[in-house]
Amino acid sequence: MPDLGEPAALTVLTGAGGWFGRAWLRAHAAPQHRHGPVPTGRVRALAGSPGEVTGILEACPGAEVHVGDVVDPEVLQTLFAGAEGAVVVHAAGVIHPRRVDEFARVNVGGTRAVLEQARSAGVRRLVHVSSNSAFGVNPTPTDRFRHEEPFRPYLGYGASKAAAEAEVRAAHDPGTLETVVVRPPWFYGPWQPVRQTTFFTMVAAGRFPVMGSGAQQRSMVHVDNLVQGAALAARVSDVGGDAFWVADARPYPMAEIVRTVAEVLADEGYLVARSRLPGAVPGGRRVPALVARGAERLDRLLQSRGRYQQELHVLGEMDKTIACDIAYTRERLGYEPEVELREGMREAVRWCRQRGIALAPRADGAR
Amino acid sequence: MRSGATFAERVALACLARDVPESSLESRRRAAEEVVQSLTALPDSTRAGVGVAGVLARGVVGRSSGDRLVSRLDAAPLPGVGEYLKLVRSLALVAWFEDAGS
Amino acid sequence: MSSYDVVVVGSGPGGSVTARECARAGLRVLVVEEGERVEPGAVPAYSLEQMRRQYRNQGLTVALGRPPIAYTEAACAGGGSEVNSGLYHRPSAELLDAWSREHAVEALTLPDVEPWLGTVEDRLQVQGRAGELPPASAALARGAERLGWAGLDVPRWAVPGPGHPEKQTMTRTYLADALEAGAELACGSRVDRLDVHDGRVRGVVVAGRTVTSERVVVAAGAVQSPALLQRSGVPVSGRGLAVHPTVKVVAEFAEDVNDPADLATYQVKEFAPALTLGGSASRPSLIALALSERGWSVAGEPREAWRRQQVYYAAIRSRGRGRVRSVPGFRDPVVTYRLTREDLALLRSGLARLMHLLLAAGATRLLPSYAGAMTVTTNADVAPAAAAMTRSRAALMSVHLTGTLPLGERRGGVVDSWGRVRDVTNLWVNDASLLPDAPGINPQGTLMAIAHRNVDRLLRGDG
Repeated sequence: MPDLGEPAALTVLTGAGGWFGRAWLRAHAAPQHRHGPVPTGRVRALAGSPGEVTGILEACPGAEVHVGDVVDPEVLQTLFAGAEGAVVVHAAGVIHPRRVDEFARVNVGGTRAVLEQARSAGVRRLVHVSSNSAFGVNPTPTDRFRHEEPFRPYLGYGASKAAAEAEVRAAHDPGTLETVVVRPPWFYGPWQPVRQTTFFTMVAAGRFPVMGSGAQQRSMVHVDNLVQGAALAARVSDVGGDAFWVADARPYPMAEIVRTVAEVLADEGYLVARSRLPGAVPGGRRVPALVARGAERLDRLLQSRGRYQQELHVLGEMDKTIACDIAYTRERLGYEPEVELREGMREAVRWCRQRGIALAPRADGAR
Repeated sequence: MRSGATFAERVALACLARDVPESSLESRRRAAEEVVQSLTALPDSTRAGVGVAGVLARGVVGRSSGDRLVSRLDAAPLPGVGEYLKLVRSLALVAWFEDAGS
Repeated sequence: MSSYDVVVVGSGPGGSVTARECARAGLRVLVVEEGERVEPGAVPAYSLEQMRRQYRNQGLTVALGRPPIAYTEAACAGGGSEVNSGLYHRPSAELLDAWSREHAVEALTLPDVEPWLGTVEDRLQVQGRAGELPPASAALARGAERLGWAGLDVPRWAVPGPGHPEKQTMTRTYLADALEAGAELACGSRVDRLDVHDGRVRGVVVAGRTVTSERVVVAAGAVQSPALLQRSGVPVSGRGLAVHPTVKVVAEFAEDVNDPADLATYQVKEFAPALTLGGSASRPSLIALALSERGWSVAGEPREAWRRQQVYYAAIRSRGRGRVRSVPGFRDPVVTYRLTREDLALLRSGLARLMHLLLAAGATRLLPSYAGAMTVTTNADVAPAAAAMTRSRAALMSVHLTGTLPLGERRGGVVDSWGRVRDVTNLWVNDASLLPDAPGINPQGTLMAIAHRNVDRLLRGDG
């Protein structure tokens, strides 16, 4: 087990209203074994808009919430006031913006601003939440991204995350500001945003597109596994300047992901459309891989003109393998992911149900 | 066959004058002769294709030589002409470096 | 000419193993070799002279396709063993199991093949390097260590010699053994066709005359063996040609790295078997050739720069396949290869990983070898330089040709699990054509062990 440094008295979190942000805050408020050494001291949270505040306080009633744009130095100066010796978890970023230039403004510009302010405030360590998109896609279904890989960004989002990760690693300065990068792939779990609810709805209706054979693999990360990885990145000694893949224990074939979601939804009392086609993936609709290639081309074309279309982007990635090897993370951080796909998806479905988020008709006819 | 050979030599000389301008004319001539020898060793099907491309290339360059000859071949939209240039140039480079380049 | 017990067509590793074992069993053996005999070391390794004297078509062979893939075959006594780098790998159990499963091959698991691997290793004196890595290998090792990627200095079938290791080529080992045991070797003799009648082969036709033989073993390599069978009227599709498509990068360092007489024997195996990174022959002429693929960039290069430059490669296992077709009236077969979309993605990924490694190793400048390639000096250049290698710009090459006559009991296969041609009772194939796929390693050791296994079966007469 690697050495853990002293816990910080204050943790500053950006992107607090997001999926990971709220999961992290929940772990602050109610830590479990799966969360690893998540800090229990004070937490200060930056929300991107006033609308996020309710959700943040729901996750962590004791959080000190600030509201503002992560690229605004004044907002950050207030956020980092008295943050000497603190840990910063920088999770603010845009994934599916309206316009492509938001990627550079928020993901790169915001990261640069946070690094600057954190340095001048005397922050001890900054944990940056990066992304698989900085590394593109694997060339074959069995290929895995290693700890050391060349950046090969996948379109605008990937380029912005690659640039941000490079800046964060270059900013590492032992003794003043230590920086550590965590690289999560596709999330799942409680606190999910609308786009993941759409995913569940499509699976329940048997309309989720499974490209080709469905053998393409995806690394996924349950948000609580990611919380553990980020908590370790904030605490483990002698990992400054390094970057770590944080994902579930193994990548999953796309067909397995869709089938598992369909089965969990059915278990949890939702009506799931059954396909009678031989070889069909329950919850999925088999689509030729050509469709994904067409979508990818169109996505590239639109992004080159500054426009971004979420559905097209997601569709374009559907035939790709995006999978990482977490061996180095296990070794250096002592990371041991505890949540696995089926259990984690069940938690996400129940979380939706508790909040009255409609996913599909109920098998018992209730609403 | 002889006229084809001299054409390949012309192209080779023009390429070498551009690639290794400081080299002696004599060394470039020796390398160009080697190119002709190499072309005869090509597999049948490739040699046939290269022969056709050579005829097209000759039409493209006319009486030009040196840099002008190379530029014309480089810019020619005809299929095979660019490949012909690439082949002759690579053979010429290898022959020149093997003979005089180290 | 007189009659033989066995005529072996081709004197490369497959043919030499066959000839030695048959001659030692007391059979009258003739080895027919199209190329000439060149004593090892008589011509400089990887030189133009070697291309001229020891390669088929002087090394100017190409598999047509989009992109075309340049490939080389030896044509000389001893075949590929005389001109290749002499690197030796044992095949993995997984590889042999996959071949056994996919092609229904009998007795091809690692335990079946292991004794023959041992025989080959002993005779060829396979050994690791003693002492320090030379600079071109050391660069790969350094890069791999910095990135945490696995790699190894690949053992060679070579003994330490004055200056460079002396490769234990076929003319020094198996072919010499065969001749000592009484086999005859006819160099400069091309077999036009086999004399096949009513399901039996009567002999081989050389320069219009038939040399009769009880048995014929074809070991002319993965391109020439199927072409010869086609010319002889044996129904062979010539499909299934498998290669290791390879992309190259010229790396420049601050210090001298280039040894023109040898290549880097270190290989990065972190992504194996799908992807292997290693070093290529880097004579000044070959550096110039690699640079010329990029466009008109050779002219600006200082003449002495080659000492600090070295060619490195990324080679992949390919899903694509090629085809060998003998065309009436043409002496040489037409070879085509179809690279798949996934192959291209894997090559780009390999190129990017190779450049990442070389930068980590301290290269100051990288010059990828494809048309119009940009120069790479920082990590940020890697992605655009890899992405720009499209089908129309790629300049690919391969050695390691296999797969045209895969052994096994699969229906429609030309040969059985032991290389015997199904439709012709006394005809065998015993060379790299038999390997069902390009294995992701230097294949000579694997093919020699399989050749041993097959000729053992042939001699026991239960084939």
